[in-house]
Formats: sequence, C-alpha cells, structure tokens
Amino acid sequence: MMNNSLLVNREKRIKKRADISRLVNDCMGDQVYVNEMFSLLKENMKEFYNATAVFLKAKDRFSISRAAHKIKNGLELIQACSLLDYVDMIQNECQHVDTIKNIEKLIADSKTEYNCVVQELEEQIAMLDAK
Amino acid sequence: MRSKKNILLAEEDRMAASLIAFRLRKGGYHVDQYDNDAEVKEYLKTKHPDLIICSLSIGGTKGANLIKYLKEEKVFSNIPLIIITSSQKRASLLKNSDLNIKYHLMKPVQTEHLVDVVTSFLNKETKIL
Repeated sequence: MMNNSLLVNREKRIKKRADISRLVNDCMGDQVYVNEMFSLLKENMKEFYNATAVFLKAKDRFSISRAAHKIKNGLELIQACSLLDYVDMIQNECQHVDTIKNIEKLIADSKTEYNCVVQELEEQIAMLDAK
Repeated sequence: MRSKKNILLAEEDRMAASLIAFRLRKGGYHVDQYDNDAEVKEYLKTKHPDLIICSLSIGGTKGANLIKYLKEEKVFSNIPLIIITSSQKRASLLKNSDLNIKYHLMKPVQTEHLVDVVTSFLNKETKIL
C-alpha cells in the first residue's frame, strides 16, 4: 500500500502545468533551439502582460482579447492547458461590457499560474540538459 | 549542384515563424521570413519565391488583404500558396471566397506535416494554383 508522500509525488508527476516534449519534438531534439524557443515564449508573455496593463487602464477589451489570442499558439506548443483556459476565460469576458475588473483579476491570476509554468518548464529543460 | 528552393514565410507570430523556418531549413529549403505585409511586398519587388506560406494573422486582421494582393498580382498568382491560421471559421471563409486557396493548415502547425505539404507542392511539375 502506497504511503501519502508517494501518492503526492505521483500526483505531482501526473498534473503537469506544461509539457516541453512537443516543443522538443518540433525542435528535432536540438536543445539549443529549445532554449531559444523558451526565451521567445517568455518574451511573448512579458509583452502580453505589459500590453494588457496598458489596455486595462484604457478599458480596451478588444485589444486585450487580441493580445490574448496572440499568445495562444505559444501556449499550445508547450501544452500549458491551465494558461490556455485562462486565455479562453479572458477572451470570453472581453466580449461583455462592464467586465474590466473581472478581466483584470483573470490576468493577475494567469500571471501567478504563468510563473509556476516557467518554473516547471525550467525543471523539464534542466532534465533534458542533464541527459 | 541543385540550388535550394526559396520559400517566403509571412508570419507575425515569432514562435510559429521561428519553428516553421527552422523545420523548413532542416528540410533543405531556403527561407525568408517577415512579420509584416509591408516588408513582404518590398521583398516581392525583387524576389520571386518558389512557394509562399502566409499567415492570416499577418498585418493585424489584414492577412486576407495580403493574400488577395498575392493572387491579383499576375507575377505571383502562380506561386503555390499555403495559408496558416488559428481560426477554422476564417479558413472556411477563404475556401468559399474567390481567392482559390488550395491548402490551409491550422495552428499550432504540425511542422512535420508542413514539410511534407511543402515538399509535395514543390515537387509537382504542374501549376498548383
């Protein structure tokens, strides 16, 4: 019978926030290039959070929705399902009026999740480098 | 020695562009990539690619305008054109339009499949579009 710590570790392994394997496959196993793509992803996300901070002040829901759409492809490449859910929720809120506060909260929550995703990907990349 | 085929890649998304260009170069193609329609038009003033891969997101929402330009300018109208998009709705609209788009790929692009499609287009002797 498994003890509790083993069960927790098993759960952690199953519930990945993101998965680098598809990107590694697309990069044909080229680790230098994987790192380059990871840097590009981080740049895109930084731009997203900077841009949406400005759009939120302007209450520009259309631009927020468009900015969210632009990061989808990158998030799909790293299979960051939770962040993709946030993008869907943000875009959905952007379709309705008087939702700026909700959108602001979703963006803030997504940023917290994003920081966890970055950490997870860094661990996965470190494991690749160690092989 | 056989010269490399030239591919023009018009894609605003940096990650998608980088990955597509990477795989095509590994596949033995020469790739010129641009992230806006103005630079694409400038490039086409002096170059004649063997194939064009165009994203619908280039030029903001004006990707379709760039595609229309490519089809209407006689010198480019015979170049095989592959469209990439994240919107199934937009892809269907293009298919039903008068632009005669023969092939489209959904994002995120399966790069292996893209290389196969590109190879099949460039190996054909007859006109594709």
